[in-house]
Amino acid sequence: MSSFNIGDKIPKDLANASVIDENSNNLKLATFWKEGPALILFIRHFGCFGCTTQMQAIAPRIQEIDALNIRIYLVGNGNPNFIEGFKERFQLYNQPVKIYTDPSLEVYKKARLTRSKLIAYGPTTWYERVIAFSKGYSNVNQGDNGQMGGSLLVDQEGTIKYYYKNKTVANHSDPNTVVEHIHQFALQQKSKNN
Amino acid sequence: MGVQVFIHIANLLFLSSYLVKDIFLLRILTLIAGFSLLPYYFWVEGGPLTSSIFWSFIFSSVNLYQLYQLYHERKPIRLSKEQQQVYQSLSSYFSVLQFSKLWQIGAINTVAENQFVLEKGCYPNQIILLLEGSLSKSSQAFCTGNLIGAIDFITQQRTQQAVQTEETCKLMTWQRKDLDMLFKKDKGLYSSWQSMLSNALAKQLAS
Repeated sequence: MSSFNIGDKIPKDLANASVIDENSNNLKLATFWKEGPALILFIRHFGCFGCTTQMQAIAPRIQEIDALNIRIYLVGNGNPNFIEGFKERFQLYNQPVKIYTDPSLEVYKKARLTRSKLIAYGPTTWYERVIAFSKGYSNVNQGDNGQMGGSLLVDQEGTIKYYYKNKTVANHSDPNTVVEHIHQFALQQKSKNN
Repeated sequence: MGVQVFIHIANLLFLSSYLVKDIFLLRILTLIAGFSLLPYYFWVEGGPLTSSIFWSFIFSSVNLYQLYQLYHERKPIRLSKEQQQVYQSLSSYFSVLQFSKLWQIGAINTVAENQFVLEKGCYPNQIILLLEGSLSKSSQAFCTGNLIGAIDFITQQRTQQAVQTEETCKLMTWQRKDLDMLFKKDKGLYSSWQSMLSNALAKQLAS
C-alpha cells in the first residue's frame, strides 16, 4: 500500500516507530497523539530549501492550530544537533511546536512517504531551487536529501484525519487544506462531546 | 545616424529598467523602451518590420495589463465611514485590501426584530456577520462569535437551528459561491478568513 486514507487507523508499525529529540532521547510516535489530536509535519533534513518553504507556509498558522487543541510536531531526518539551529532559524522557541528527528528514516518509510533521488535531483527540484533562492532561502545538506516530507493529522484514537505525501522537495500540504480538515475534525469532536 | 537613434534610445531605456529594483518602474521603462523601438521598425530600410511590430504589441499589452494590476494592488484604499465601522471588528484578521475585496461581494442588510435570519434545515449557502443588534437567546448558542451559520458553513450540512433576531439587527451577508470564487483567486484572503473562523471556533470549543 502506497498511501493512507482518511479514516484509516495508524498501523502498529508506524505507531511503535521511534523518533529522537534534540537530546537523543527515543520516543514512540504513538505518544504524539496519546493526550490529544496531533498534526505531524514531516519535513526533510533541517537545512533544505524545501523545509524552509514548508515552514514559511505553516508558521503563520501555528498559533491558530494550537488554539483548536491540536498539538503540532515536526519530524526531520537530520542529526539531532541540527534541531537547535532549526528552532533558531524559524524562531520556534516560544511556539507550541515540538521537534524530533529520525535519521534512520524508519518513521518516514512506515508513514509511506516518498524517497527518491530522482525527484531530489530532477528538473522540478532545480526549478524549485531557483524559486527558493530568489526568495533568499538557503540550502545546506543536514540529512537524507532524497527523503520527501508529508503531513499527518491523527486523533486521540490513532485514526488518520488528514494525510498528505509531499510530491517534490518544495511541495507540501496547503495550510488552508490542513486547517479545513482541522475545522471539520474539531466540530466532529464537539458534537461527540455534546 | 538617422533611424538608428531609436535603437539607442530604446536600449538606454532597457538598460535603465535593468538597473531599477522596483517592478512598477521597471515595467514602465520597458514599456516606453518598447514604444521607442516602433519608429525604427517602421522606417528602417526594407521596413516596416511587421513581425517585430507584432511582438512589440504583444509585449506592451502584457506589460500594460501587469501595470494595471500592480496599480490596483498598490493604490491606497480609502474606507467610507460605514466600511470603517465594520472593519474595526475585522481588522485583526484582514488587511484593508482584503477587507475591501470582502466588502465588494458582501451585502449589508437590516432585519427587523423577531425575524428569522437563518431558517432551520436549509443548505448553508451563506455566512452572516452580526454588525449591530442582538439575537434571541436560543439563537445565540448557534452563533460562533458574531458569525451566524459559520459551523454549518464549515460542515456543509443543513442548518441545525433557526436563528432569530431579538431586536433590529444590521448584518453583513456573504454568499458561499461568491466567497468560493474569491478564495480561489486569493489564497491569502482564504487563510485570513479561516483564521477568523478558527478563532470563533476555538472560543466555542473552550466554552
